[in-house]
Amino acid sequence: MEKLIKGIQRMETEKISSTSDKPARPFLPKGGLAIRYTRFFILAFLIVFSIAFYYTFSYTRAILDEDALQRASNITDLTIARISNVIRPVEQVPSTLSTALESDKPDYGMIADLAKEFVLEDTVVFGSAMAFEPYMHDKKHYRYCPYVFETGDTVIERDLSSAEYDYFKQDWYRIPKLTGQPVWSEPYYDKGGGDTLMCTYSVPFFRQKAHERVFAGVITMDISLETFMHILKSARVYETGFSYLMSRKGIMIAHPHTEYINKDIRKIIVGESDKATDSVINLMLQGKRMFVKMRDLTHVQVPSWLYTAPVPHTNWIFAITFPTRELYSGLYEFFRKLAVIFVISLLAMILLTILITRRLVSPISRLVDATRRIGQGDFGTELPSYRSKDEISQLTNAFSHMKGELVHYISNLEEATAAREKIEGELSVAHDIQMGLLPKHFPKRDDWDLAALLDPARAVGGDLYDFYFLDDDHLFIAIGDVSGKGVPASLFMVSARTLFRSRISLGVPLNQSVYEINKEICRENPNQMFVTFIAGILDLKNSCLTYCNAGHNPPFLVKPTGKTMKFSDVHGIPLGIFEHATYSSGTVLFSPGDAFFMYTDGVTEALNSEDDFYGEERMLEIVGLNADLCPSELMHKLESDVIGFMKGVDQADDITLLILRSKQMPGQETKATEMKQIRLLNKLGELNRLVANLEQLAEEWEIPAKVSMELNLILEELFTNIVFYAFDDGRDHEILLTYTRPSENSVQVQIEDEGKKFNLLEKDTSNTVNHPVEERQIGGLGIHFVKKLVNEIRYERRDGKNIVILIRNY
Amino acid sequence: MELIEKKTEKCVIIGINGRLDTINYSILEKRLTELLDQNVTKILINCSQMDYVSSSGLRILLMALKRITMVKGKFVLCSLQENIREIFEISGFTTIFEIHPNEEDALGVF
Repeated sequence: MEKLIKGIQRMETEKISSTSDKPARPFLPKGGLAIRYTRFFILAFLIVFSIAFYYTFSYTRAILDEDALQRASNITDLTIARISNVIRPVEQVPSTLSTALESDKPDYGMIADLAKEFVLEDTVVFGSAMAFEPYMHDKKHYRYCPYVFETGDTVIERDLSSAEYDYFKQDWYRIPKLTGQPVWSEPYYDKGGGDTLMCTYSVPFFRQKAHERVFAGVITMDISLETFMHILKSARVYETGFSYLMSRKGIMIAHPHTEYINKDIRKIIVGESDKATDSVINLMLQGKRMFVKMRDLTHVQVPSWLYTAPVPHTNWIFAITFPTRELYSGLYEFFRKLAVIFVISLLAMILLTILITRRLVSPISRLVDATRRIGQGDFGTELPSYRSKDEISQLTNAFSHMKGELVHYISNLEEATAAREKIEGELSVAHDIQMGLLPKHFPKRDDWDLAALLDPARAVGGDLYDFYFLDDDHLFIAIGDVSGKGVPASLFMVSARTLFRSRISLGVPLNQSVYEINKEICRENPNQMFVTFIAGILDLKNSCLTYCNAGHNPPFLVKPTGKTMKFSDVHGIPLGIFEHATYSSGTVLFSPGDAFFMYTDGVTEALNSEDDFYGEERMLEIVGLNADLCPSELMHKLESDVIGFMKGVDQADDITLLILRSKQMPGQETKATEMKQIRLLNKLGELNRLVANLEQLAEEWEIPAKVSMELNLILEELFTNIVFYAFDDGRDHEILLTYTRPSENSVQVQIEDEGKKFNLLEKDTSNTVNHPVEERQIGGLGIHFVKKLVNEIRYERRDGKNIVILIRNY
Repeated sequence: MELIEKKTEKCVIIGINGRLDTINYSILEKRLTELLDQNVTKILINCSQMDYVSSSGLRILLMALKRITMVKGKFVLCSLQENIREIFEISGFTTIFEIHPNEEDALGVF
């Protein structure tokens, strides 16, 4: 054993050297744990980071929005304050002047000087005019309108009271006159006055005339809009954000893009007007303070924020606007950097995961390699050692144990296989020998034909059949089935066959021979095996088969018509069971064309894939349908039907058949059909044979049951009479019964014995019946029955024989 | 052949199952002798399952009848099959034996 293992190991070492230069393991084996874990981690990482990313982004944006609102609001407040600072003195001075002009005798020179001084000093005020109602200044002038304005560092005075200019019709004069209130004009380009874009603040002044306040004229202050441009320039947010100032009517007062000044805001906004924009503009012009998102930056179509608020005292609106993306540009920048960090860390994580997993998995991979080599039969492969005590280590230990077991198992298996191969070789020889023992060919004869086959389920079987001629007129036939299968059964079978061959002889009655054989088998049967058996001796001349069935399946007689007759009688228990078992025998009378059919249970118990038995019924059907065939054809027909039935299912038991057939010869038919013979010994036990034989005959000749029973009664009486009284020597004697059919409805039986003379007709049986019980003789009753139950009875004493002839009609 | 024996308050019932012939009549003989030796005097033989009877069988029945009659007991047969009944008639036994068509009737006489 050890040698064998070493041998295996040596072989394996050679194999290793041939397999060691195979390609290295891929860095990431497809479907390996590394890829799977990495995939899993990436997914988890992506989910977690996406959530965090989204949350941070939203939160930051909200903060930025809040911050932008704050900034815009602050800038707006600041800018509005600055604008107010510019405007307040512009509004105060004219009011002061108008008060001076409303006195009874105004000092025009002083007023004009004041105005001049103001125009010169104030940076915003560009010019100032005093326009009077007709003849309100003096009686000479219809129009009077002195105007001072700044050019460079000097102030120039000019009169605007030309008929062409006609200041009465100008807005700056007309509107205060109508409303009686100071008013800021819309921006306009003054051609006659300052020749520049300006806004004019007009304050009306009045005179007291006969207790009535009468409109006397207007004092104006022209301001240059350029001042506001400077203010707005500093009111900026973000990159391209800007602010603008417009009147309540939507006319631009100040705008970083000068071309828009004096234009309506609705015309500035490019693209199609939409409801959202319109409503925002309306709200703006109503003077609402608000922070809204617009689709337009007033001149380019960029989504933007707008903060707007009214300028107090004036009718002006201040607005500051900036593109949304600039508000978020920092945010976007931040997230761009974040994304880069994210990608880098993701890559790092993937790499780490792969490295860690590979590190974790590598012992498994090494184990897999080793196991694969072991699987290929390389038992010399060392399993990788692994120091820690985790699951992988346990797995390695389990594999190591398995390897040991495997080596052990395989060496056992190889031994067993070698042994089995040897046995199988021997079995094949045994099979040939066993088959060689079986007689194959029945000599060609005119009167009898025989065929037999044995299909063993394994190499050797426990079934047997045999046939050989005892002399010219006697043929021995046998079939048997040893309990169990295989070699023991086949050896037992061979020994049984040998015993039969040596013990059967014509001088000894068959049942006696079987008795002796059984005794012999029992004597040397340590394994308590047994064999069911039918042995028969055919008297070729008389067409009479004497047979003994020792616990075997019942044989059949197959008539040429297809009718089958079963011989259910068993003449003893199977051979080899009980040393003192006794055996009787039966008789079969052949008519020409009759076939005697014997089989083993391998036929009827053949199984198909549905676990159904082939069965006696199907067997008899096939046999009956092919009754006209010769034995060997019939046999092969049945064999192929059984094989067809099994449909490839392994044969479970030996299949054995033996068919003996009396050939039909012309002219012989009638005679043989009408006559049957049976030879009985002068033993009480032979009564069973007599009865069985009579039952067979009754069935064959279709004798009614009642008649058959009465014949039985008669023959039993006559037979027992002979057994009890005919012989004194205690030896075996033969009693011959011959049945014939004188007509369709009658049976004739002739009983011959070599015993003492006994004429039953001379026996007086008259007192047997009609006496009272007390006086009745016991005995004689049987003879009485015989006489009563037959139609005709004859007695002869011939050649030292008693011959009784009975005829029974029905 | 098989014997099926039943004891009732009134009598012993023996059922004969199968063939009663020269080979096996001694079984019935032995049993009946035992019963008679034990002073059983009331016996009913149920023949419903008896397919065949030979003269040897009849002899045993006759023997039993004689011995029971001597001690003033009762030996009755019942349920004979048609064929068997004919044998009984031929042998004249119908006049000697008390025979009833079924077991119930037969039990009535004890």
